[in-house]
Amino acid sequence: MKATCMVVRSFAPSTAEASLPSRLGGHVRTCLACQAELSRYSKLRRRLAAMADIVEPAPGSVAPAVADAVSETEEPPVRDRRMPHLAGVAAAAGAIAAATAGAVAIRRQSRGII
Amino acid sequence: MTQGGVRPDDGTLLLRAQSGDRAAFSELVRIHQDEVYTLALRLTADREMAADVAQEAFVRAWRALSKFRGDAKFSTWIHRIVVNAAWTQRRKESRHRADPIDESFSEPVSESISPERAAESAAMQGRLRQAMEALPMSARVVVVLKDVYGWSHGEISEHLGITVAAAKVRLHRGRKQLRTDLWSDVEARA
Repeated sequence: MKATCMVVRSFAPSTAEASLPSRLGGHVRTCLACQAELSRYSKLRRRLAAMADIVEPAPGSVAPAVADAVSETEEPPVRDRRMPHLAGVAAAAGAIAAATAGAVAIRRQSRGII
Repeated sequence: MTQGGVRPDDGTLLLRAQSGDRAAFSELVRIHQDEVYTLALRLTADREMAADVAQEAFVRAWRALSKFRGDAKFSTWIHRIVVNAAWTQRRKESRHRADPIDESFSEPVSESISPERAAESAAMQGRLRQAMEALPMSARVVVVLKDVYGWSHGEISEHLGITVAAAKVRLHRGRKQLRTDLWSDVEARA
């Protein structure tokens, strides 16, 4: 194996994130071994990505165990009730700001500024 | 938990669960348990531990529901909790025993392809699965999150508490070992 092939091999696992240095590109175009090596990593990544579509059924014990643990929780989690209030205040402030901006724009338009 | 045959979406169930509705949370568990278990299994390569991790992740999610603001999907959020739970669990376990390989861990094959393709695919997936199991946990987690689930290096580094550079190194090493395990016999025959 040529020294350049060894260098290509050292880069090959990460070629999905970073392209090969340009000085190696010319070598790869003429080296079947390096092309095959890069192709293996492409295949590997495709196979790994394909695993995302495969789902393994959970054992029947998972949901009941979670239900038991959750039922033993003394205080259920209650979402922060201030948030809807704060959201309402923010929305009202936004509406006032928009109305003010609109009024200013109309006044400027009527004065021929815009 | 369906009403009139229409399944409530995650957002509706989350809001109800955040109000303390345990039944709504149980429905979320029922909907997401398979994907959660699958991720846990891929990270740990151990069925028993994966079931423990899945349970732990859902319980952590229940306890943290009030903090969930809905700026991500529930599935994304629970996946992150699974990663943290698996990482914690594995570190605890590694203090007590060596890296085991669960022989019963196998990836099911998609049912929508021909029998020949299914057999070929099963063989490939079987070899890949064995190669994945043989990876050290530290590399396997990064390979699974990056190459199977498409996480960024930044997300991986944040959730595992490692640097981006460390994540890249583990990914590089993990892919390299997988490539060697999958193709070394082919090269030896050539």
